[in-house]
Amino acid sequence: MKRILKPVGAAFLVLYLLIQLISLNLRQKTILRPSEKIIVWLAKPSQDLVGGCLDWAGGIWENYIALVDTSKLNEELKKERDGLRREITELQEVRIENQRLRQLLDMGAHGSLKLLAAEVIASGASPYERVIRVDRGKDDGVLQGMAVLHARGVVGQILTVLENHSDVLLLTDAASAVDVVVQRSRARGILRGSRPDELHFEYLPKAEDVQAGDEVITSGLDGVYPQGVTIGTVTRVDPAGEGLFLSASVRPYVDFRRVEEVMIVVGGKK
Amino acid sequence: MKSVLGMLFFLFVGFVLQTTALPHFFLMLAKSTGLSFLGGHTIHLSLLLLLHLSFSRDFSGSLSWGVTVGVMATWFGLAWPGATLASFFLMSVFGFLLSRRIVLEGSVGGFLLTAGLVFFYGVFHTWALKIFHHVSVPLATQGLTILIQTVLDSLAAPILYWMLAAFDRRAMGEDHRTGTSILLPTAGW
Repeated sequence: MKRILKPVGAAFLVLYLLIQLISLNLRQKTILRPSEKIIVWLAKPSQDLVGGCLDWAGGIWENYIALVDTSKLNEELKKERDGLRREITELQEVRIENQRLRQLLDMGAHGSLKLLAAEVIASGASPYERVIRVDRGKDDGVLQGMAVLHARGVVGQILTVLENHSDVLLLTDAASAVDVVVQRSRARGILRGSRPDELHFEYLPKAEDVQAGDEVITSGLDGVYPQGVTIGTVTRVDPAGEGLFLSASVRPYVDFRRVEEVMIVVGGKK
Repeated sequence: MKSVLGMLFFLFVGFVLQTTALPHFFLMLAKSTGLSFLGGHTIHLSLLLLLHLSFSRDFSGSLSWGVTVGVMATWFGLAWPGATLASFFLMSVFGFLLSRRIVLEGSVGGFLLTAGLVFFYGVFHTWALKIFHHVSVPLATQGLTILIQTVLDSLAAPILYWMLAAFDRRAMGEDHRTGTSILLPTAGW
């Protein structure tokens, strides 16, 4: 009897479970039966485990394996950004250079001078002498003694000429001199190089009217520099002076340490 | 011969650097640090090289290097060539004589001796303008330039001397007082 009841009981149990499982899918439930609660309770940790594993695996894929391309992309973007930055800097430099050259060309047009643009390539061999080297020489028609100008004023004169470069003696060198007039009073004198950023008046009679702030321009009488080119402003006047002459200093408009392009006066009105 | 050619190469590179890269460097340094007095300066590498040569060569070697450096300077742009040539020549004599009288102890000794000679070079060079070019320059107008140049050159000198001494040892062995003249080698002073 027991042999018959065991399979029948088992069959009923299986049938019951099947009916229960089928009934789960036949209706929308808001309240779980106890049997369902057990299944959910048992399923949760496994789901969490599997989900955790999947998240971990997914994380590895997304953050490491799949990111190989992303880091490549990142590198490319960085390179592109660096390139753009470089380009911006270059464009800014070109814009500044353009402004400077435009000023130089304007100066040539107004003064009816034949100008030759030149680039400063080096400074002189001695730190105590104020000389610069430019990239124009005999081949470009440059001759010794030609005036060299900048958009802001006089730079100096050609000292030595070689085939493709020349040395320019700056106005601030002690061996340099230029005949000038004070624009306001028309007082005339000679400016000589003194300190790195200062010129000193020579042979300016005490009777002449010179004040601090006066603008000084070339007179054109020295036969080197064209007439009317700006040089700088008077910064200091000592009425006591030296002997018969006034002592006065002029600060040039040109910053000789930062000059990058100059114009050589190769012809035209002096 | 290797030493002479090497030194000529160093002089050439020194002149190029002191007229191009170093003025740019000091200009940028002046701009970025606000120490505007540094702008327009350089390190007078050619003078430092000559001082090293006058310290380490025999008398005729020192003199011939003095002339050589002076002539090379004219290739790189000079306003007062006579004054510069005379100053370099004088430095080669003084450098040789002082190195025989003063014991150079390490980088401090090199710094002090160089400072004295560079300062003297600046003063003599300014004064020589009057002798050779008939232009009188008040020393006061050049004073600050000479002072700053003295400090910069003296600071650079120890490391440069060390590098040049290392080159000399490689090129000539330990005894590099003799046989290094670019004229005929002599028995010394």
